[in-house]
Amino acid sequence: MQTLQIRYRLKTSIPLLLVIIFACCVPLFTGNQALTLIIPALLWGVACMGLTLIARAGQVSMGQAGFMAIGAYSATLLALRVDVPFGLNILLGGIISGIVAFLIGRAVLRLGGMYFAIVTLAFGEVVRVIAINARNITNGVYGLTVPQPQISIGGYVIAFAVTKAAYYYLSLGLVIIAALIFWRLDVSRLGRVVRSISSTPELSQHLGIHVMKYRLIAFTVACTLTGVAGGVYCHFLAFMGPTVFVLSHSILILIMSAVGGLGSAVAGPILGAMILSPLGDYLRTVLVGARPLIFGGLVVIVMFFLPGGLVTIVDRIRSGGRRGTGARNAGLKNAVRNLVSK
Amino acid sequence: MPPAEVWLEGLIIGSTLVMMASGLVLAISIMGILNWTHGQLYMFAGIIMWQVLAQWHINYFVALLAAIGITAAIGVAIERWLLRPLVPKGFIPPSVVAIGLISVFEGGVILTFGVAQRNVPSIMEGIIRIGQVSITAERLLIVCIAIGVMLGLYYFINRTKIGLAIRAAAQEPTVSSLYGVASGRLFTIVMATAAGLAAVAAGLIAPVYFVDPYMGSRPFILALMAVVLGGMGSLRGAVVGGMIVGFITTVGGYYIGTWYELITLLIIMAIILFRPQGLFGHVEARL
Amino acid sequence: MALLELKNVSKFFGSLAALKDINLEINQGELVGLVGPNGSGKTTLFNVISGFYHPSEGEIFYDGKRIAGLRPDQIASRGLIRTFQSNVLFKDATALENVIRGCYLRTKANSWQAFFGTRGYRKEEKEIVQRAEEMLDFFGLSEVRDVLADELPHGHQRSLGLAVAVAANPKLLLIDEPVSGMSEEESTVAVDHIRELANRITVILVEHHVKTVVAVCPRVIVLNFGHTLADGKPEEVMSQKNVIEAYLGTEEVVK
Repeated sequence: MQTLQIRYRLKTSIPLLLVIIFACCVPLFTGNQALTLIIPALLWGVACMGLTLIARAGQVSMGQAGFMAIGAYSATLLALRVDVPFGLNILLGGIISGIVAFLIGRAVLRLGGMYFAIVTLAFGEVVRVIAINARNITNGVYGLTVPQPQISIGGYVIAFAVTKAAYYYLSLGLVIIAALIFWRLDVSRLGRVVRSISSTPELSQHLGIHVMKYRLIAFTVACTLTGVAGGVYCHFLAFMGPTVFVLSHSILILIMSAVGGLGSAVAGPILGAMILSPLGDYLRTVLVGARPLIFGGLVVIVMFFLPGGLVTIVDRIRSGGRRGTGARNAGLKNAVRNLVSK
Repeated sequence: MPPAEVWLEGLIIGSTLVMMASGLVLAISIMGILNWTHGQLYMFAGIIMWQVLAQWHINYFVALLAAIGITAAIGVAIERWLLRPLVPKGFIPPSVVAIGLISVFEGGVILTFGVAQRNVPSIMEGIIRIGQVSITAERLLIVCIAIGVMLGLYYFINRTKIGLAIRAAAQEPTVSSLYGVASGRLFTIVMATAAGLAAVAAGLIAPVYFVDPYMGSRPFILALMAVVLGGMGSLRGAVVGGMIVGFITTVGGYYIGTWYELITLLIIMAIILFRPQGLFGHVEARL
Repeated sequence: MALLELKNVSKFFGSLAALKDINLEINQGELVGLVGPNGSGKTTLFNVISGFYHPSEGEIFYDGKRIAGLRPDQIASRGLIRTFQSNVLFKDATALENVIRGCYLRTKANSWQAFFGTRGYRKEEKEIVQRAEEMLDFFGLSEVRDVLADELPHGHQRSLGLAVAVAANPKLLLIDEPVSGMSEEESTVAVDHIRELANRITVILVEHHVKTVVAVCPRVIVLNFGHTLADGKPEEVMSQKNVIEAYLGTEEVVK
């Protein structure tokens, strides 16, 4: 098994490295317009990875947009009111998001899936309503203008407001870090524990696994990173208001994750976001109503005919139809089975 | 003391939510998962009402019947072909499909009817004065219909054999097959009733407010709140919860403005945290 | 000091007394059989001991410490492991994966070490896989290591359930009807395994098939309607009048 893992590591490391190098070069040959499509896709990717982790722990969260909003509002207010420097404010925003997730999770993760979904739904709405009504703090529906940072590196000034590429690299960096974290969580013993819990929680308990603790870890980590993504997003938009992250975004995140593949911790959600987010932005300009129809239709089709998501197609191409790559295939297939055929 | 109009509004909204919540409770027990499409069924019924009333100029009751029939059929179809096949795979796949269907409905309706808010033409003109209070004849009619439907519903659910089966199904779907009605057919009847109720709710609202592709989400969320408040699996809870939420929304809104939304949501979260069975439901202790 | 001690333990479900005033002591190294007609409370007793239920009354001491009211995972982490009457497994995982998951309590590395993949953690992971494979081997399941638990024949699933429980490093193992539904052959093999296990750890064995229990266990406790009817050597217990009466009318042959 160890040798299989090493072989697999080499097999994926090299193409992965190439992808990352390619990704770093993207702003060199695309204009600002393309970047405006790609940057949100990257950030949604982080949110999707978070949702996927929560789903793999056995729950559906309908409030991820709420966590993005908390991260975003916190980051913005920290910068505006408390003069927290750029970067630190986003990080703190994520941490605040995580703390909220921890508090809510402690109370609700023990309940059945339906109640958890409802509470997260309500939570997302609570965030929105507070944002609208707490006019003194959030400026209500008019929102807040998010200050644009300017970073000088050795005399060379990067004005975030002007160079979209700066946001691109920031988002890319976030995605890479988040992907590493989610991947490590999945591939390690922690992932195994999470899979045990979502598969058969009663048995897991009797084997000494503290179910709540691990559900809480998954939920908190997912929401912290989601909050960070929200913080970056609102800086990119240069605006934060109650309509930026709403219920339909929570649904969007779910759809992107499901289409990408809920059985995969990193590749599926990123794939789903990278494909659907730009597609959605394009569809929105072409024909109103096309995006929800196609997205909804896609997720229904995927659930019926390709429950592992689009990422399983990629996987099939990579293994060329062979059943040879042992650990990887077994891992993914089991993960899909884990999630889909309970 | 809020004026009578506000109370009347509360009654209308309350009745609407009673319908929605009851339908939701039924749908949940049949499907075993939350029926995320319930709000969209409501919206779809509203669109049908508008189409029949405003475009084809047919009378209100025909429109209502059409809306109920079509919506019920769609609800049954969704449950049987899109959700039930996935239920054996766990609770995530059918939930994801149901959530995806929210978007499908939204997109489909936008593409065929456009985004604009439509007004459904008034059913009747005229204003009626009762003492110091004046209300439109239309609203009064709506209130009468609402009360009528709720009484009819009460009779149907509590006094007929099918109603008994439905009540049992609301509490425990597997047991209800003991009541002699074939399980598959019972599921269909219950689902049709659930969707039909959503349609009636829309029928109540359409003439009084407007109709648009986004009208489904708020009633859905409010109905959800009502179901949590009343307790899952309890029709009585749905009725009580629906009325309470309806009045909080209108009368509460009168006093505290838009903060009422927050209060409702926080109450719901508190209930789930401290008394998940709501007022009349039973606790489902899960790991 | 007894390893497991139950003092006046009762469990009520509403007005139904599933267990009434159970008093027993199990010492380290014993192999105790627990028998009784259907519905006598054997599985309920396991559920109460393992923490799945909290006792309505009474105290439970394990290794001298009170465990009633603790969570099942807390109790399990002290070495008190149980198996299940039905095939409770990770259905969507392979046999090997099931046992690996069962090894959770053997892991010493904490979550941070696991997350960062320290050398100690990686070494431990390798050892766990090895241990799991040895465990499968012991129970004769090596051939099916890559088969999904769901797809295993019933007999293998029963054995796998036992393997997973043993993987959790028990000091006291509660085995609930390990050979139910197994063929004569499979039963004999399974019973041999249990006998070997009992050499190293303390075992309480619930079994419906009285003959098996009587043949294997040096001590037998009989339950009926939630009470203890008898507790002692199998030959003595099984010839007690009240025990025979309890089984009268059932298909068990008490000889």
